[in-house]
Amino acid sequence: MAGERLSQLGRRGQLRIGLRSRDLALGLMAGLTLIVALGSLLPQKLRSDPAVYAEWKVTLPGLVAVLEALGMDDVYSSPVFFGLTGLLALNLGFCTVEQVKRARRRLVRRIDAPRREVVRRQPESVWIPASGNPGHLAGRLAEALRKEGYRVGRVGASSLEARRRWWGYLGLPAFHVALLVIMAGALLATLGRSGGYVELAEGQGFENLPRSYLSYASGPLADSPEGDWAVRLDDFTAGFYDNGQIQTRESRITVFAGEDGPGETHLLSSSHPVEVSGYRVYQTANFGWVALVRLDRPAGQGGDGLVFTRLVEDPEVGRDATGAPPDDLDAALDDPDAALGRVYSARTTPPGTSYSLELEIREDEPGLLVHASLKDGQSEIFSGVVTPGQEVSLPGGETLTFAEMRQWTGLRVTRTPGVELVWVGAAGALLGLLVHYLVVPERLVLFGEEGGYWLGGRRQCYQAAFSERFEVLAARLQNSVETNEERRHVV
Amino acid sequence: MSEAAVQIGLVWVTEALYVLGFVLLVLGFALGRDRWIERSFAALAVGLVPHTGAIILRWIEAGHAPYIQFYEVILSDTWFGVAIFLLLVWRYPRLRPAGLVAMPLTVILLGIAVFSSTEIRSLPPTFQTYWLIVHILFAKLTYGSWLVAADLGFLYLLKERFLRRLSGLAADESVLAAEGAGLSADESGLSADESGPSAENLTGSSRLAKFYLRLPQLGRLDELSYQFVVAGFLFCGVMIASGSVWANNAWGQYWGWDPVETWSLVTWLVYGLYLHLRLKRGWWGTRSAWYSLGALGVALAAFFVMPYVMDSIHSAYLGSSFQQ
Repeated sequence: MAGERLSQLGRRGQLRIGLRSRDLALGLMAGLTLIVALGSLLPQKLRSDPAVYAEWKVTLPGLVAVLEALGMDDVYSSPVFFGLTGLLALNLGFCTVEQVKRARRRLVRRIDAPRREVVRRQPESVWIPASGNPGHLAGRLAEALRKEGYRVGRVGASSLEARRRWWGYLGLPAFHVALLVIMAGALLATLGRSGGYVELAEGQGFENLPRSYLSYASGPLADSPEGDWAVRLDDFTAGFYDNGQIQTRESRITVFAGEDGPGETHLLSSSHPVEVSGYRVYQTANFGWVALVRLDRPAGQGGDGLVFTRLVEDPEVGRDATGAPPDDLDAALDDPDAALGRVYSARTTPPGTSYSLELEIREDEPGLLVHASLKDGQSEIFSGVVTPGQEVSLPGGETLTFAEMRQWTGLRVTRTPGVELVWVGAAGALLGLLVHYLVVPERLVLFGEEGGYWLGGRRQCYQAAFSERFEVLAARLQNSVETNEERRHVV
Repeated sequence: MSEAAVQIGLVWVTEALYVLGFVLLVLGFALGRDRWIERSFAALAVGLVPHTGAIILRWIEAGHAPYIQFYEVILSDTWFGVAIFLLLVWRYPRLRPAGLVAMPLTVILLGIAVFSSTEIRSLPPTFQTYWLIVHILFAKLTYGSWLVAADLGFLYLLKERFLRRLSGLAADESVLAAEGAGLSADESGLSADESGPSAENLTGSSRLAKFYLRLPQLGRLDELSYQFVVAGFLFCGVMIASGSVWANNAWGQYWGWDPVETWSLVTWLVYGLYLHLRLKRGWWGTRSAWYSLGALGVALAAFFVMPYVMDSIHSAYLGSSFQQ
């Protein structure tokens, strides 16, 4: 019979019914849960450590080949993941339309005659004995129910239907509509997101153009930045706890709008980004210092100009006074007299030279420690501390000038359209869930019979808790229909 | 005596009071002494005082709320657990037997915490935001709610098993169904009225019967468990959303598929499935109780196992690597 009806619907109808199926919803949710979990358990080409991924490839070549063939080597960008999410969104859409229709039907449904057999069949239904004019009794019961917060409708001469918290039916549809909004926002954000990462020394800047960034990525629908604003890093400070852990990172930046636009200064710190023309600029990491070094070749060979050499923090903070790492780092760390300031270092090979430079600075000590050695790493050609402005002549005829030290830091710039939609959806989902959770619709029916009333009722959920309340309610209603004379008699 | 020593001393006093509470509760139920049961909850409430003191001292010493390092996390988690549990029992006195699950769990966790490293770790710059407080507060509420839901589910299973044994399998399907649906006004089949023989007559174990009689109806237990699952589901949503805002402010992206972040979503979906199965497939009662126990396993794995076995920005709260 059902099969016949289904075949009469045609393909579109069948598809619609299939797409709004609750079983499909359960299957898709279970599938998506599994896929999301797998993404963190399976080797992932882009997210895993390359060495770990390479090891997986050697130890489980078959599995990795299958995963790569299915695009599951990056689960969260795989067709399976997007397919499941898309299908779930469709299913959610169809189910939500159904839910909204059902909620609308419930909300506008006229109060109807209660069915006697339904009321009697309910185990918790209570018989309220009452005598007198049915019209007057119904009026008294209706009044008593209104006092309890119910909306009461009269059906026929002696039957009543009462509803309370009826708008609680809006909770679940609102939650599901909000989920759709979140999904739409997330899709928009994924497709339209763009952003880049840049590393700057104090005094350096960048224009909002893809080529200005060290790395830049954008979604297929993202607008390309047109360089209509630029940022200059004026100053960067990093604060540390006594135990050496990083405490604060703060940058002072100047934002220039347009080519000749005036500069506007902002303070940027971790977790406190700055909004610039629809983009957000974030303070990310701190690395250490940049040694501004000028290397001049002998006359006629041209100069290399000012070189920004980045020095990164050296974990071997317990180096001894000569700059050499101690044989026993633990012992050096335990020695109260040891110089344990932060050490930043870099190794660089100036182009066109036959030697390499090791640069090092120590916290609270002025000057740059320079070790120059031939590329074979064996023969040292210079070693010493160079102060700002000082020139050093190297054996090949080059002159190394140490200009100054500056701090350098990393900034991230992103633009995420659709995020407002996600937040609206999140607020709606929260509200919908709260309504569903806290506002539980209740329906009571009072069916008049000879000698009294049958009181029946249901609640959308928490029926057991309702049963407890039901008895109290029945007693109050009983009280309301007793005449003063009857009450006196009872006393 | 140093602040740290006082703090550890307070944790030991707390632990002692919780152990005392648990012992009194077990003996109270075993010997049918109501006063002992009441005193066990009094011991638990008194234990909350040194527990609060230890948390305040730790807060002062560390310079931040106790949510970094395993020790701090467990110290505050157990505080939330006990406070929520006491509120629950105060509101629903018939849920006192749930203490037989909640109390030993608290004692064990606090015991593990007190023997773990109490080293203080400073807050990295990315942690210095109010969103973190919102995120952590809701994480604790989430896990507290799901823990209570599973606890209630466990009690449901115990009582259901007892009723099944009591009534015989086939004969009392209807009694169980009525109980499960919460439709009967009394303890169906257990009271010595016309609805059936008394529990004592049938089992010969009045204490055990009394213990189960103290529990709410099966239907009510099931509903309460469901309510806590929904509350946890809601809190988990807020936890994920606030974590997302924090991540965006700190690292410039709302979602990064960090392992713990991913498993929070997995857990949310697992509980979402629970709600769908219950509302649309009629999975209440036994199946629902088993599910809530299994789902709690997923939730605990997401919170306590993932940060250990995988590189995560969340590893910090268990004292592993920091990602700043």
